[in-house]
Amino acid sequence: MGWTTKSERPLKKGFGEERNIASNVLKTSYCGIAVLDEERRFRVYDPGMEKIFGYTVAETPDFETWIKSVFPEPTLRDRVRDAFLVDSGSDSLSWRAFPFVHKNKETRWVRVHASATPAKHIVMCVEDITEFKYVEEALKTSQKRLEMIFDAVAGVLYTIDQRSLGPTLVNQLKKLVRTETDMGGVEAQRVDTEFGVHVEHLKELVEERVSELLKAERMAALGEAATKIAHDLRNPLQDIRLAQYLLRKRCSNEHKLIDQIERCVAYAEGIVENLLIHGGKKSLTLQETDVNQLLRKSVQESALPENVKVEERLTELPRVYVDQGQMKRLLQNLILNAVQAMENGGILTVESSCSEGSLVVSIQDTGVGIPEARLELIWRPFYTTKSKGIGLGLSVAKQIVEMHGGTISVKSSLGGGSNFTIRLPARTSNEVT
Amino acid sequence: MAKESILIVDDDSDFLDLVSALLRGEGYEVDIAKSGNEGLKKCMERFYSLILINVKLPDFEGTQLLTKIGNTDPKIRKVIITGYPSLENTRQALNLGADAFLVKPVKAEELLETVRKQLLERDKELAERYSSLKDIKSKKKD
Repeated sequence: MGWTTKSERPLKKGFGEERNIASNVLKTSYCGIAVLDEERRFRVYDPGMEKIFGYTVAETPDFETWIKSVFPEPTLRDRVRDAFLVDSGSDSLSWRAFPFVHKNKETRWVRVHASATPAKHIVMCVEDITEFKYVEEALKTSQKRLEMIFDAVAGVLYTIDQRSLGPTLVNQLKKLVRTETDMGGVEAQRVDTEFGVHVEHLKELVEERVSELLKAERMAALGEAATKIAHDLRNPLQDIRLAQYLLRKRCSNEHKLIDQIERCVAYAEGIVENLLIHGGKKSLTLQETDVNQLLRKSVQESALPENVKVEERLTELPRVYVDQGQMKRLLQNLILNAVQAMENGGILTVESSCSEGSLVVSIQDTGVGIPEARLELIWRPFYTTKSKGIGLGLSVAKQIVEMHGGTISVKSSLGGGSNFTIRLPARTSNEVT
Repeated sequence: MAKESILIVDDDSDFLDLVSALLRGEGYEVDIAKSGNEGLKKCMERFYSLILINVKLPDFEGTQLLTKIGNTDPKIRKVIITGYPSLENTRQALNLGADAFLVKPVKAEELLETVRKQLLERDKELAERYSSLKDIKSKKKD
């Protein structure tokens, strides 16, 4: 766009025409065009400039007044001045954007390009990009918001900007995503072509969640039924107990059989109680208890087989408030577990101690032990590796311990037996915290 | 001393038979009732020292029977027994005048122990009443 003053006269006529066309262009463009002479005064200052900056050429006749008015902030002003120097000294076609202050005090944005002519004049072309800037900001915010949404739906959405990555890389990425998450050929769906967003396995996640909820519903229904059955079983169990007692009194020579009946009833009661604790929101009925006595009773009533010897290592304990029924159930569950681990006999060690306000009780066996891989699983309800039993013993034990505010842990090694340790806060008052 | 008489109210006939046999074996006199109404009727006809009431009865809740029997003089010992315990019905039973609460399945020994304890309490109460009556009588004489 160089203007020259050298060959003015001979081209006056043609020049005049050109000038008319040019000035019409100047009048209609949204750009502002200006030309500064060697003394940096405005030779050309078109209406666009006035429109964009609000100042007439009379108000800003030269570069310095213009730059001072339009860029009042000194650091910014220096930057603009530098840009002018750099640009005008080269043939660069770079556009730089700056915020400026309009005569009406409004802050707007302008894009400036300056280049020098051979006659050392500077030609400026400016464009008001305020609206464009707003749109750009809005787009950025919108993209940020979308990114936040994508991040929140973790691991589901992937943003692939196809334009910048190119088709080959995009395909490779798609393949990578598929192997990483092992989705088995779920269709990627383009939701928003603008950002190239692919919604990966959202459908699968939803399906998974729905089936989880259905399963939980089924379990709850089963749980309800199991609880009802358990409650109902209490009646015949009660009757058997009474009959067994009477039988024992009347037939003193049939001890073995009657013992068997008693053992079976106790076992059945255990199942019923475990089911009820597992299924119910049982509250604690606290009673002052001698835990050692409870331990001894639990061992006695567990009907241990002949080949299991009991070792007691009980230290004196303070009387504490626990739910006796539940504690007994807890201890019997652990003892039963220990006995079942020692099919060929062994030693059951029952230990109790008190330290720093906690009661510590441990049940140890010399049985088969639990492999490390299963140590996490044993606490799960209905988990069992035995053919007998429903697998509630340990999960109910954990439930009871936790209801009392305590913890239960296990140490075990294959062939080395297992040790279950309970830690309970020693509650010495009846207050429920 | 006259045999203590006990009434059992429960709709499970096996339970009624067995508990009767159990208590009779201990020297008590036992009557049975299969419903709340039957229980009430028996209470009107005869005086019992202790009543064993099951919460779940065919006609109305065992705990309602507690209210219907009401406060007698001397007091009848009332023991509630249930297979469906909950904090609410325990509290309710005790509030409505039950003296003890048992949860099925209860060991025979525990049942007997509870009955013994309750009857002992009753004896104590009666003895106190009697002695204070004696005091009043003797005071009157003077």
